[in-house]
Amino acid sequence: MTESSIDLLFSQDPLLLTKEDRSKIIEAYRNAQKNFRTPDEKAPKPAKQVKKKFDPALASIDLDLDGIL
Amino acid sequence: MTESPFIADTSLQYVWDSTSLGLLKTCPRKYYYTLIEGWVKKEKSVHLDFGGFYASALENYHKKIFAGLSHEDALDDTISQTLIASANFSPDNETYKTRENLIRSIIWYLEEFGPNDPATTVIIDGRPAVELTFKFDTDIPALNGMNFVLSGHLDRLVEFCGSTYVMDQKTTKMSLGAHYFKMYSPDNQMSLYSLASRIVFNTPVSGVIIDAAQILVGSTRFARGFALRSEAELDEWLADTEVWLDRAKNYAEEEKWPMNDTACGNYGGCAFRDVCSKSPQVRHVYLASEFEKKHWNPLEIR
Repeated sequence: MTESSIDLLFSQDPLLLTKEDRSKIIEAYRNAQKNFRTPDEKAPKPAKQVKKKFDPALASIDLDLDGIL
Repeated sequence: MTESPFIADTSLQYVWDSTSLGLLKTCPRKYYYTLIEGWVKKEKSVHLDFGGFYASALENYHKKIFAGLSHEDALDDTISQTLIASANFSPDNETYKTRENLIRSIIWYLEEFGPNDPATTVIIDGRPAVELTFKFDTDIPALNGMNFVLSGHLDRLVEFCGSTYVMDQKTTKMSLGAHYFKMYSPDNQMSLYSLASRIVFNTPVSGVIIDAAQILVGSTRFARGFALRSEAELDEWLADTEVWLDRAKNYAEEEKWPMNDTACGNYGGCAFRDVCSKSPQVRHVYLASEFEKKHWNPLEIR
């Protein structure tokens, strides 16, 4: 179903549309929904490798936890 | 003919819905122009029409499902009804809220939530709780022995994860993040809906589920948010409403409806901003040329 044939169905008197016509509209939008992905739904990019830096604050947390456990 | 929401021979409205109460709270002058004088902009609101078609379509779908139709047949019937109802809907200079995007949004919503929605319609007295009209006496005295009455329409009552909620459909161009749903707490409409459900339908609800559709040029995105209300919050809202209605009584008695000039810029600017910015003696000329009379009536059956 092309975009122009959907446009044509929309331009017709809705009282004259058949169930088959409406089913073409519904199918066209169903397909569009399946193919549609919002930017945040697209496949995620591989995580960037970051160099770990030594953080004295985190080190002290580790020490505290060790003490509790 | 629909009954008047005003007490005879006065400017005192005794039946209030969330629209009229919201106008009074926003700006008494805006309320006066809209409810008492009955002015509306000549150009129709695309947002009101689009939202109305969308809500009616989903209401129709739920009624057909309850009547025993399959998802496919209920969807076909809904699209048929909406195409007929919106046949003359072709807003100028509008690329978002168009007729095609309306049909797309209905189909996409029902594909995503239709048969698989964990929120299911509540049944009251053997009928689906869809598009419910309510009206209840507040026990707050108005005038001549009459009390103030609150009224409105609920889209749907649903069961979701063991609790009952009012479900309200919204269409918007805004992005649907936490910021969008924050707008509804506190909110006049959502509090009234929650209260009405407790009083009229004898169904204490946890609040309102807002099913929002973000209408974009080439797609529609959906998000579900919650506007929760505790019993204490609803009691507080009703107590505050009494204060507002008392103010309305004073304004009506004195025939003075002051401008709230801090609200003129809200939501892209008040429709009456260009009226209020004119000198008082020429305002009626501007109103007559740019507006038309169409009285909003909370008692009108939808």
